[in-house]
Amino acid sequence: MLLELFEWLGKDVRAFNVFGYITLRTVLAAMTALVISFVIGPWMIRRLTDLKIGQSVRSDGPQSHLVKAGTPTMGGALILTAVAVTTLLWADLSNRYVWACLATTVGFGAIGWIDDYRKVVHKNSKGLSAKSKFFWQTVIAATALSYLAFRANLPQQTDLIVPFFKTVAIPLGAVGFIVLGWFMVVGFSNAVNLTDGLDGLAIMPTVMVASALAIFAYVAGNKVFATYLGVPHIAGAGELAIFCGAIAGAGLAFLWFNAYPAEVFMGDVGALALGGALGLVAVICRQEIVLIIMGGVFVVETLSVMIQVASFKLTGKRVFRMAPLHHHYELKGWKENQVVVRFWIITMMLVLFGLSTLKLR
Amino acid sequence: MREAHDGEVWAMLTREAVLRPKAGGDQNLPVRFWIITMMLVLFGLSTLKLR
Repeated sequence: MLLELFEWLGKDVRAFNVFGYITLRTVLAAMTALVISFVIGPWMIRRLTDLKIGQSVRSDGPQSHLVKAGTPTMGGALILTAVAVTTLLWADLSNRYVWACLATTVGFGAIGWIDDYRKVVHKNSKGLSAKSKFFWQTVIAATALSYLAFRANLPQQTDLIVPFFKTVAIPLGAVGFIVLGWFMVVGFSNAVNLTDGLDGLAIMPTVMVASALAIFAYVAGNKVFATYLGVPHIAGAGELAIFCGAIAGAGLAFLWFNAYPAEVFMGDVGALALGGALGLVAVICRQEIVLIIMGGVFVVETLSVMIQVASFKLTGKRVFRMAPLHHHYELKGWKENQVVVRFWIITMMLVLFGLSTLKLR
Repeated sequence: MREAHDGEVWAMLTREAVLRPKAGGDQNLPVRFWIITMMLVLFGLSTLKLR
């Protein structure tokens, strides 16, 4: 929206041409999302509290979590509002990737909203059933991915890129692209949701991964950088850096209210949406394997749940004291803050390693 | 994910519950200072382009 305005103003005043640069608009998007979230945040928390939209807590979880009951949830709506408004303001709205990411993020957010609303407001402990949630996630992801697959006109837009190997590109075709993309989008959406169990645990890794994906998106969209670094050039993907910048900015502001002891939780509305967004950006930039590396905390949390359930069903024994993994460490004696900050540190290390794949080829 | 299960506790405890620090209190000062630092770093980075 603002891009068109600045382009028009730039015809007479050259200084406005600086807003055409993706890097500047990414930083401004992050700052805009921050400001929007800081302005709306306190009001939204008051409204959620007044409406008694309080978090319910598992009785079979760690006992120390019972005191979290009643903390306002569905705060993810704050993040999504900031991301959507910021992206509409700063991104190039003629770019199809921006619309695909926005639509998927908002769609997943709507699924999470319905789930949270039923649980919290209607006091329906089941919320949206797992099958329904999975079905609608699949519908939205498949729609976005099909659109991207059939608009792709170059093999590099659908090939699977292997990190560290410049010349290895596994052709997937449209169907393979959609299947892998579905796995990434729906998988990461649920992975972030599983990770969202401690104050600030999910949002900071999301901010870090989104910031790194902004770099990957910028590089992929720039023909010179992409050729130099040996990554696929995806024309137009650079605008996703603005989308990722908005996520990073909104996430940081949300963390202001979500850090221990949290004033608000993001709920499924935030977790499902943010995970889906990260997955789709990685798919567009052809960095699926790198996302699995950088989002290792989310992956390991999901694997811990799968391993725990499989082990219990097959052998009757548990592998972890409690799943997801963060509860295991809590029961081992780590304080909540220690678990959260240590997971942030691990994510930072994985993100740095993921970024190193740009050069180590 | 704070999944709702059968038999869960629907107790609507107030935020002044004894076992949990008051939300927004001093305990999240370090995190808030980190966030301020990151904002300043972003602003500093923007000076690369805003010249």
